[in-house]
Amino acid sequence: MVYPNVLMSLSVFSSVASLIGAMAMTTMTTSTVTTTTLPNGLPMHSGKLPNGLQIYIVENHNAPVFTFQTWFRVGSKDEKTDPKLNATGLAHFFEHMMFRGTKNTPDGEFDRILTRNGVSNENATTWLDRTNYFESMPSKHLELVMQLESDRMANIVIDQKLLDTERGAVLGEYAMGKDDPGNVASELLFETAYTLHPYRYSVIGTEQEIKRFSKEEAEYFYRTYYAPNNATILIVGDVDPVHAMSLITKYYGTCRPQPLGHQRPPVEPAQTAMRSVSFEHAQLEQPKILIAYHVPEATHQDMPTLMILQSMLTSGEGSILSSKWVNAGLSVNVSGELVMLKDPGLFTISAEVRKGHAPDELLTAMDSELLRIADAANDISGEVMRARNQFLLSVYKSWDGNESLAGFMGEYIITAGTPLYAFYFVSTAEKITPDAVKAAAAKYLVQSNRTVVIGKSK
Amino acid sequence: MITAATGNTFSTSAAPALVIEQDALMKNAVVQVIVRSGSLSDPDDMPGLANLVARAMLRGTQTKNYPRLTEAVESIGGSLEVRTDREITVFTGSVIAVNFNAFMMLVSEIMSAPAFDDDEVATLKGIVKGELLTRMQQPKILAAMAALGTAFAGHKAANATQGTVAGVDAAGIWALRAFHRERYVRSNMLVACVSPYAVPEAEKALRAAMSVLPPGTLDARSVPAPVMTGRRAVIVEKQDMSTTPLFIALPGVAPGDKDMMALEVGNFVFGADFTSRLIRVLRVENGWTYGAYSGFEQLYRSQSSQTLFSLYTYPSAVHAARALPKAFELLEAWISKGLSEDEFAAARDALSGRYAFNIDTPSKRLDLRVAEVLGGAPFMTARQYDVKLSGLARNDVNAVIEKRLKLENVVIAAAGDGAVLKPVLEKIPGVLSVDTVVVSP
Repeated sequence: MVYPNVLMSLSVFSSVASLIGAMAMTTMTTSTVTTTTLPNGLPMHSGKLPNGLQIYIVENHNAPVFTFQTWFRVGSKDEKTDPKLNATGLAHFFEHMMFRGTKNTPDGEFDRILTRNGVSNENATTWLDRTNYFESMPSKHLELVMQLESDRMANIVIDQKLLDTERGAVLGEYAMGKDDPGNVASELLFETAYTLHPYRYSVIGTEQEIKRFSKEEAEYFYRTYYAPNNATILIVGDVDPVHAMSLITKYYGTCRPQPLGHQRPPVEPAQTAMRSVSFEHAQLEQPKILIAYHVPEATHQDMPTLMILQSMLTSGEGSILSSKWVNAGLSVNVSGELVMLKDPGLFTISAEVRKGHAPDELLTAMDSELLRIADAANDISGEVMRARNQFLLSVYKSWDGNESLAGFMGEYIITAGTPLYAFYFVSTAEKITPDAVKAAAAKYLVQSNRTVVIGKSK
Repeated sequence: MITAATGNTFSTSAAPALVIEQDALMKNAVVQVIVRSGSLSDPDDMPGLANLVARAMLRGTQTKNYPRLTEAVESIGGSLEVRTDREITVFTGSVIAVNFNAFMMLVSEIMSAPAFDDDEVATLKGIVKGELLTRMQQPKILAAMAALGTAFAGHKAANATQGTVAGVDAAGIWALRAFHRERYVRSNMLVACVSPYAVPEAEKALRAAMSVLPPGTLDARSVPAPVMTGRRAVIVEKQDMSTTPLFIALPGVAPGDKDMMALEVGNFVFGADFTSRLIRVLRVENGWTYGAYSGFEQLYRSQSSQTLFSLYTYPSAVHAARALPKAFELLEAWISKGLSEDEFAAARDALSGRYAFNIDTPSKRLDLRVAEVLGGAPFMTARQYDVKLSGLARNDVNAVIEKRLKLENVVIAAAGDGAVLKPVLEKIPGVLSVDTVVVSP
C-alpha cells in the first residue's frame, strides 16, 4: 500500500541531534550564550549562571505574552531515597508551600501581584523526578516574574500555622484522588510494577504522612533541593533574550548553590513473571483494567520506537486496540501512555471493560495482536506509517502557543538534561522502521514483563 | 456576502457560514464543522440522537467502511472527533498541513454520504451506553446531573448531551438518517479553519467540501429558562465518598448578553481565579477543599442561550458540614454587597492583562470568532477589550450582579451520605425542601 510522504518537512530535525552533542561538550555561562534555531523556526538561546542555574529562552513574538517555567530536579522519588526523610508526599506538600510567603512577599501576595498584572495559568506540578512552577504573563512583566520567582527560590518562610492550613488543602486533594477509581488504579499499578524503585510510591503520599509532616522537614527539603544548581528556567514567548539574560543574572545571580541531597535510587530488578492485582471501588460502574510493561529510561535508544508502538496500539480510532477492544464490544474506551522518566519507566494501557465481558478477554485479544505485530512474516508498514503520522500530528498540535510548546520541551529538561531532546526524539521517531517496531514489541510487550490491575465495583 | 475581512482573517455569512484565519507558521491545519443542531434537537423519546448521528457519521461512508475511512483519515496524519452541545454539534479536525486538501475531501464525504450501517450503529450504541455508565463514576457528574435535573425538570435540557441509555436504545437507523437529512445542510452549518494556507486557498477547499450538501434551512434552538421555584436542595445518595461535590445553581445570562462583561468582572472576584473569594476562604484560610470555583459554563456550555450561574466545590467529606453553608453565605454576600473598590480595581487590571491570552494563538482567535457568529460576544482586539472594560465602574458591576443574579430561585445539589448532608442543607437560609434524587444513565 502506498502512503503519501508527509514527513519531508521534518528533515531539519536531523541537525538537532548533532546540536545536542555539541552542547553537551560546552560549559556555558551567561557570557557564552548559545543560540540555535529550533525545527519549528523559533530561535532558542541557552546559557548557565556561575551558580549552576540553567537557562533556555525561546523567542516567539506572535503575541505580547510569555510563559515562564522553573524546573527543579527533585520529585517524589528523591524524598524516599533521602535518608533524612524516607517519606512520600513531602515534595508535593512543599510545592503548595511555595505559594505561601517569603521573607519579602507575605502569604497570598505572590498570587495577588501576578493576578493583578494579568497572569494566566499560574500553577505547579510535582511528579516522580521533578517539580515545576509556571505562569504566563504579558511581555511587559518579565522583570516582575523574575523578581517574584527568584525570591521564592531563595527566601521561602515556613510558617507553622500556614503549614497546618495548607495541610487541609493537601488532604482535600488526597481525598479527591481517593474518589477517582482511575487514580486509585494508577497508584496501584505503579506500586505493583515497581518492587524496589521509589517510583512505586504515590506522589501525594499517604494520609498519615501528610498529617505528620513538620516545619523542620519542610525547611530541610527546601534547603537541600531548591537551589539554583538544581534548577532550570525555560522562557517561551515575546521576550528580548539579551534583556532576559541580564534580568536573570540580576535576580538569580545572588542565589547560592547548595550541596544537593540526591541519592541514587535502587535499581529495579528485572520482572520475570506477570503480576496481577485487583481492587474494589464504590464509584466503579463497570470493570477497569490497567496494564503496564517496563520500558527503559527516557533517553534510551528504544524509546522513540516504543512511542510509535504506543501510537499503533492506542492512538486514534484506527489504532489496534480501538479496533480489537472498543469496536469489538469488549471495552468502552482505550488509552495509553509511554511514561518517560529519568530511570526506567512504563508503557501503560487502560480501558473501561464493557459490562458482560471479563478483563481477561481484553488481554487475550491484545496478546494475539502483539504476536501478530512481532511476527516477521506480517507486513505492518501501513500501521507504522499511520502511527507515525498520528504522533507527528500530536507534536504539531503541541507547538501551538507558548504554554504548550514549553510543555512539549520542558519535561526533557529533567529526563534528558536538555529541552532540545524533545525535537531529537521526534526526528528519531520519523525514521523508525517496521522491523524496529517488531523487535520492540517482542522485547518489551511480553507477559513476563507485564503488570495488570483490575478494578471492580464494590 | 463578505461580512468581515481583516488581514489574514475572513468570515462570511453566505451558507455555509465560513470563518477562516491564516497562520503561516503552522505545520498543521485545524478545521471545525459546526452543525447548529445539538441535543435540544433530539426527539423527546430519543435523547442522545444528535450525538449518535454525529458519531455514527465517523463510522463509515457509502464508499468507505469504518476501517477504510479511519485508515484514510489517520494515515495522512489527520484526526476527526465530535462533541455534542445543547445547541450545536462540533466536528473538530486536525491534519498535517500538506494533506489539508485530501483531508477536506474526506470531511466532505463524511458530511454528505454517511453509511449509517446497521452493525456499526449497533457497535456505537454499545460504546455510548458504556460511556454513559462511565460518566456516573465521577462524583462531580452526579451532583451536576442532579442540579440540571432539578433546574430543567421535564425538559430535555436536563439530559446529558449524550442522552440516556433508553434514548440511545430507541434510536433506529431511520431516525439517524432523517436527522442527518434535515440538519446536515449548508444553511445549518458553519465551517471554520486555521491553517498556513492563504485565505482564498482555504476558502476554496472549504467551499468545495461543503458544496455537495443541500442548502436546507437553519434549525437553531435555545435552552429554555429554568423552572426553579424557591430554594431547593437535592442529594444524590452515595456512600464511601471522601469528598462532597456540591453545586449551587441559579439563572444566569447568555454569553452575548450586554451585561456579561460586568458579570465577568464580578465573577473574577468571586470564584473565577485562584485569588478569588471562594478559594481564599474555603481553601487558603480553612483548608476545607482543594478547589472552589464559580462561572456561567460549569453546568453546560451555551452558544447563545441563557446559562446557569453556578458555584462548584468539593470539600473533604469531614469538612462538608462547615464548607457547604459557608459557600452559600459567600454567594449571598457577593450578590447582595458586591465588590469592594480594591477588589474591583484588581479584577479590572487582571482581566485587562489576561485578555492577551484569549487571542494569543490562531486556534483561540478562531474559537472567539466562531462564538461571535453563533451568537456569543463580539470578537474584540486587546485594545477594544480594554476600552470596553475601562468603561465599567464598580457601582455598575455591583448593580448588574444584584439585578441579574437572584437568589430567589436556587438549586443546591450535593452527592454523598444523605444522613449527613440533609441536616446541613436544611439549615441553609430559605431552603424550602431537601429531597433525595436518583441520577441514572
